[in-house]
Amino acid sequence: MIDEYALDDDPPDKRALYDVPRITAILHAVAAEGRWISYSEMLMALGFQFTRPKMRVLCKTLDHVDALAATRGEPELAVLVVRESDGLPGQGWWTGRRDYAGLWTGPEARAFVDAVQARAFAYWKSKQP
Amino acid sequence: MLPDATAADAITVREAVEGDLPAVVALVQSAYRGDASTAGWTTEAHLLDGQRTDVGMLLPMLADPNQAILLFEDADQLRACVSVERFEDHGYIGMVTVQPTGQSQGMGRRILETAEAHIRDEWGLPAAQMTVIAQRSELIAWYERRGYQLTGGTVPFPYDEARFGNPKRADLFLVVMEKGLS
Repeated sequence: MIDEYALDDDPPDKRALYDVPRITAILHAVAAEGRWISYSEMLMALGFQFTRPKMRVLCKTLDHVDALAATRGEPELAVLVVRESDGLPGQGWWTGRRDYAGLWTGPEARAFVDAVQARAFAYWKSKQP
Repeated sequence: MLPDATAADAITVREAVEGDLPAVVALVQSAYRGDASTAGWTTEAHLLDGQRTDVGMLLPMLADPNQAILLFEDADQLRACVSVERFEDHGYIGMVTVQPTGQSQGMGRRILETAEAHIRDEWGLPAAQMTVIAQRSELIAWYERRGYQLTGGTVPFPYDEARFGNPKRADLFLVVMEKGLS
């Protein structure tokens, strides 16, 4: 499913981890399909295996993706990158949020994430030709 | 040279090659997982079991000119190791490992200083970062004493990747620490 985004010919270029437009484009496509993508899948889409240092850079870039989306009045996108185990974003996504004070796992978290993801799905599906 | 004479003084340092990797995996496993790791204070055995790394995970590091695994050896055997990775504006330090029975003798400080020197002098980068399991407060405190500060950044623990081990609890995550090297 993610091969369509992967680099087939070029060796992994670490600059891809910082590439906000590229990661944003991947998430626009994911949102338009009404689905989420795991952290590992996102790294694979950029040409990398999961490692701690690369995940660290990806998480920071996802913050930039959302900050730019906010300036354009678009829905959040980082919420679409989740743990495969429970389908929820990692701790970094929750910290600092002013619109949620509940637990970061469990039914309440699930419902909150579903609602945020639904906004992205609806917005980017509506942008499809 | 360390301020006081320690076992770390008799150590030589070199970069790992492919033939070293089985010994590196065994060293890392012994320091972090399983009963053997409890001989040292770096153990993660209370948080995770299973493997910490394997040869397949380390091989790509050797193939990447922007990564290195540094080995610390004495006349007898591999005593410690650390990995470094080059990013745009900082270096990343990982896999900080000292043989469990050789810990608390200055080796941890020695390998950290060597990794920092590699990042600063070989790559010309002004800062080093690392990630530490958030629940390992004693390890975070040790890095703070070495000049590292929490950045506020966090990284999800790779629950989806069994090659990083089998967590014993569901709330693990990583915190990012940074130190300026100028």
